[in-house]
Amino acid sequence: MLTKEELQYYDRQILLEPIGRTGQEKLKLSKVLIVGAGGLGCPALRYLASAGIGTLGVVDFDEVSISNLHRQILFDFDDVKNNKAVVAIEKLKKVNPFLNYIAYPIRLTTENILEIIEGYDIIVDCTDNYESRFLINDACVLTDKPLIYGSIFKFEAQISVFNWENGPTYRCLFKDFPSNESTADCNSSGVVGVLPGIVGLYQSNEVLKMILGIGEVLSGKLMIYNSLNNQVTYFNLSKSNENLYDVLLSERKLIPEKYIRSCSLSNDIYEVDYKNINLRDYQIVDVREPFEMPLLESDIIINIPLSELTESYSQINKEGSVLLFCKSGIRSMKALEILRDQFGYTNIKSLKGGITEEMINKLLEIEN
Amino acid sequence: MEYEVQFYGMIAERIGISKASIVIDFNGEDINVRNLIISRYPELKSMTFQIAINNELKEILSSVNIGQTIAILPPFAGG
Repeated sequence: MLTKEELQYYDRQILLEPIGRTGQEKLKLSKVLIVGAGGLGCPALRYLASAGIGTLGVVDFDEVSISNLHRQILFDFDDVKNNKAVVAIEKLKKVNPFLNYIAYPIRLTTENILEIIEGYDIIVDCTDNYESRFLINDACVLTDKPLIYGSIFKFEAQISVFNWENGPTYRCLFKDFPSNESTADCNSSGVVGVLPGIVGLYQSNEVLKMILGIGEVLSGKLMIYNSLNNQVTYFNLSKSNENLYDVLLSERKLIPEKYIRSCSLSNDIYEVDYKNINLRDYQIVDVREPFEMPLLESDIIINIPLSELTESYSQINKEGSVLLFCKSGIRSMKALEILRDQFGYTNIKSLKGGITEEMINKLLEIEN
Repeated sequence: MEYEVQFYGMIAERIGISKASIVIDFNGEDINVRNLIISRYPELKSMTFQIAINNELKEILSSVNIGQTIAILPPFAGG
C-alpha cells in the first residue's frame, strides 16, 4: 500500500521496530483534524505531516499577521494577510506531498463543527480561546472522538488527552468558562515561540502513539510543564461532572448560547483606573483629536489622535508600560485593539472611563 | 500539619508567588481547601481554579491525607 517513494520518505521511521511498515500504513489510513493553525497548530502540523498522517485537516478562519511569525513557524512575510489554514497546507504539501490535505478557512460553530469532525479519527485542539475549547470538547463528546488538548500561559503549559477510551473530558477538569478575571490569551499576555512549539509536539506525539498503539496515552492525566524550570507535574483526572453532558447527549445537538461567554474577552485585562497604577511608570498617550478640550500639552504626554494612529504608532513604546486615554475610554480601547492586533503591542492599557480633571491634576503634579 | 501550596498560571501571577507553606490545624474536622485558600488570599475570590491535593483533583482535605502538596490550578487557553 505504501509506494516506493513513500517507503523511502518514511524509511527512518519504519526502521523503528514498534512502527515498521504496518505502523506506517496505520498512519497513512488515519485522519487527524487540527483546529487552529497558530503557535500550537503550526509545529503540530509540521510534524504530523512528516510522520505521514494520511489525511490532515486544518481549521482556521484567521489571517497571518506579522506578530504571528515569531512562533507560527509555517508562515513567513509573504503570507501576511492570507488565510492560515490555506497557507499552512500550501507549505505542508512541499514538506510531504504524499498526504491528503483539507483546509477549512472558517470559524467552527455549533452549526458546522459536527459535520467537519465527523470525518476524522482524532481531533487536536490548538485554539487559543475558551469558546472554541468548550465547543470542540462537547462536539468530541457528542461524536465520541478523542481530543488532544494543549494550552499555554506565558511559560507554562497544560497538556492532556480527553475522551479517549471513555476517559475524562475537558469538563472533568474545568466545568465551564472561567471568570473574566481569570482570562488572558497570547495576544495579551505574551509568549516565547518555543513553548507552543514544545506543546504542539507533545500533542503530535500523543496522536502518533494513539494511532500506532504504542506507549502510554496521556489520558486521565493533566500534565503541566514549566519551561523556566523544566518542571513537569502530573495530576490525576477522573470522570466527573458527567451530568453536564445530559442535555447534550439526550438532545444530540450543540446549543449556540452555551459557547458565548457572557462578557467575551473582557476589557478588564486592558482597562485600568489611574488610581490603581503608578502613572510615572507609563508612557501616556492622548488619542483624542487636536481640537478636543481640555488641551493637554505636557512633556509627559504624547498626542497621537486615533485618526492618525496607523501612521504615527511608532512613537509609542513597545517596551515598558503604555497608557492610552481619550474622553470616555472608548476610543482609547479602540486604539489599544489596533495597536495590539495590527502592530503586535502587548504592553498597552486603556484608561477606564476617560480622562478626568482629577487625573489631569495628578499628571500636572508628576510633571512638576 | 504543614502543606506546600503550589500556585500555577495566572494565580501565581496574581498573588506574586508560586509556592507557599501553610500550616493546617484540623481539630478533628475536614478542611475545605477552597475556603481556606480564599481566606488566605482574598484576591483569588473571583478567579477560577481547580484544586489538587497530592496530585488528585479534590477540595476537601482530611487529616489522613499524607503527602502534603496542594496545587492551585487555573484554566488557561493560550495557543
